Amino acid sequence: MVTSLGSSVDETFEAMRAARSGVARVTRFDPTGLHCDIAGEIDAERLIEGHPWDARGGSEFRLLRHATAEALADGGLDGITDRQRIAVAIGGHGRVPDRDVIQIMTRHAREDGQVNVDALRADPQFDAAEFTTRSPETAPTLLAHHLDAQGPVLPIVSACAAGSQAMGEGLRLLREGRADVVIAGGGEPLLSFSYYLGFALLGALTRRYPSPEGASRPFDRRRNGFVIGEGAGIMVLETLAHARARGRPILGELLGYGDSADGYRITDMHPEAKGAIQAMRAAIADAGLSPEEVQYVNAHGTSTAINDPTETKACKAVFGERAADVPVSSNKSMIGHTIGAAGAIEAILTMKGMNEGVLLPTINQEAPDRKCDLDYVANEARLMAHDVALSNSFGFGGQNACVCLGSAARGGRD
Amino acid sequence: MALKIAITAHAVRTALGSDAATVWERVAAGTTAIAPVQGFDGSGFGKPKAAQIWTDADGPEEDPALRILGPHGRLLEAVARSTHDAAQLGRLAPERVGLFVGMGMVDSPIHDLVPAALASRDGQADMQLGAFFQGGYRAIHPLWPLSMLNNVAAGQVSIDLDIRGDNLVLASSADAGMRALLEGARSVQRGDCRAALVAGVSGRITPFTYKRLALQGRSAVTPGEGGAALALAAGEDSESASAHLTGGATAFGSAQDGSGPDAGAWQRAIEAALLEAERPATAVTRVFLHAEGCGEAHEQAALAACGLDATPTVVTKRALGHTGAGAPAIDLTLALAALPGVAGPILILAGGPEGGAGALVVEAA
Repeated sequence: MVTSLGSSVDETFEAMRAARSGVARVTRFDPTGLHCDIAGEIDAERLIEGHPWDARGGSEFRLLRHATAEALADGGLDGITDRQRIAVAIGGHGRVPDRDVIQIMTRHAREDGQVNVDALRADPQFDAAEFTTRSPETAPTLLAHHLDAQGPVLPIVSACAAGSQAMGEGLRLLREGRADVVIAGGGEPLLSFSYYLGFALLGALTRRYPSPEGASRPFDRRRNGFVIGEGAGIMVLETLAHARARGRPILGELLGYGDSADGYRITDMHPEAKGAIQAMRAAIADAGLSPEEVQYVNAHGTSTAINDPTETKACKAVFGERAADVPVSSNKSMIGHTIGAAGAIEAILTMKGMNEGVLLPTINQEAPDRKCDLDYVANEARLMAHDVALSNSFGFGGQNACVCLGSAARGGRD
Repeated sequence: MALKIAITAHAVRTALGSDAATVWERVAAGTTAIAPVQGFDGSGFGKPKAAQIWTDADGPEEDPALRILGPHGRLLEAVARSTHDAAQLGRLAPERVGLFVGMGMVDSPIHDLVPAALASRDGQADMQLGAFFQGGYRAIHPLWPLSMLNNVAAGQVSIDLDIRGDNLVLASSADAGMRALLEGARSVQRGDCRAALVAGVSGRITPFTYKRLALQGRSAVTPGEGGAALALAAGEDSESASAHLTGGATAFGSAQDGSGPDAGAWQRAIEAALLEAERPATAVTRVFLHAEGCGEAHEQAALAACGLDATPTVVTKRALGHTGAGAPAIDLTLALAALPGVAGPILILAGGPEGGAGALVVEAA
């Protein structure tokens, strides 16, 4: 895993346990003039060393390589001779045309706003790699090449739900016997000018904040938009029997997966949380469990006006009278919203929390919102033994995904 | 056990028409829609050709919101709606209907940024970030960012048709389109949804299309525009269906020459699909080849290895161009039109430039 709080699972988890924020002023470009100028940027200096394919796969590929290297440490795929049984399922969306492309387009624009294609074609600065890094399947397929994984490759593009959907689809590949091992997760490229601008134009980013660290405040009354973040997270999924036969440590269990579509609006959740409720219930049912057995929810918790009370409604609908007793917290309060990577990062942190007996906090809880009245593990991590948890991801476009996770101790059971 | 997923309705739009039977007749007769590209000056790419359905003759989309969702999104909407209505999916609970889409390359329309950038230029004709952020960016339509997201068109379909069940959007090559079809079939097979709307659409052909093909060393590929949607069901919902998907598989392996899947990947996909369909290679009556214009030697080697080298083949791309993520769904609708004229299953192949290969078996009910 790599996030603005660390270049490994342990670093990120310990920083979150200490309730630290990785949000700071944007450095990838000068955002002066925009209504938001902060992000959860990673320390690119600490990324895995470069690879000849980075130009083709872009920063998304490098971040995925970084996370995969950690996930596969200590010979993670060694001994698997049938590489056709290794699948790759990655959430992401490719890269968007960045400032340099717009700059070149502008240079060759006519006064009517159309571009002189001949001049554009002849411009030696027109970046060849631009096109390959923009294709959503490039980074996942290069990762498959890199790992010599010859099974199915699923490049999933469901925006903020993509990382969770990647894990869910990976679970299905295993259950249906279409793979023995799935490299599943999500990656979000390093911030670009046009990508950041896009979310600013949508009005999704926070507009008012006391400090960068205090900007992402899911469930707090003063929340007013999300903070965008960079990162990647990878899980190695395999059946219990396969993992045991290989002598691999079992870090946790992916128990169930549910997904849905809101069918409501592209940019807003259904106000009654219908899709979110459907996905959460489906994940619990898919795990063969009842809502009473869920002990914690890692929330989508974006810090937007609509998501947080709607997700609260969903938790109340799913857990009923127990809802107030089920802790819910948002990792995005500390690293921002990592979009295509969010579901994977948050699921990994959820598993780590179960194994450590720790609930990670939601920071910046200062002003209670009467529409957000659950236990959000406010401001400080909490010790609590728990073995079953949900991790929610709800995407732009209306796709919802939820994974049900079990602790390592539980994962060792037959 | 063979997969047995019924196809209960379908709709298609290609450069040769919007009726599967008619398009199939034209393809079988050797008619082609491939012609010199229209809508922009492509002379720098060596007189490029394409099978287009969107040209300037259609006129620019005046509504910025619709323009941003793109012609591919509106095509997806059209074929999905036709299929949805024909299959009467509206009778089912929305939560029990799934949506699985292979989405062609969504090129963010950076032309829509140019007016804002032009207003922020310095004397050297370069955009100045300071001026851009101080106000130039306000000239950009607020929905422009949605064009960056490959799932938005599918999200719009789920809204318009009230589809709320299991869903997946994969991008952006033909193998992604094939996987979307297969994942929809698996969802029905598992019972995660009672019916699935599966679809694939191409991206729009632009100068970037040719630039991208050139950079990939695939200039021999002739692009096309189009898409198709199909409704899948099983059990009691499928009794009146005339055709079934009976097997499907994907595999991954990149040819050393960078042309796409290697022979091994093709062979694994074909063998696994036929195994699931419980059909020997000798039973296959037609193979709809991927045959995109490069890498055919690997596909042919796999067919030979599977004992399919003497089986009659169809290459729809000669007529319709390469419709990317839309190609498998289009080929499947044309195979349905071809099925009454053959005595056994049809095998459909699709591959991607990075090495993904897929095979699908369809046969009469």
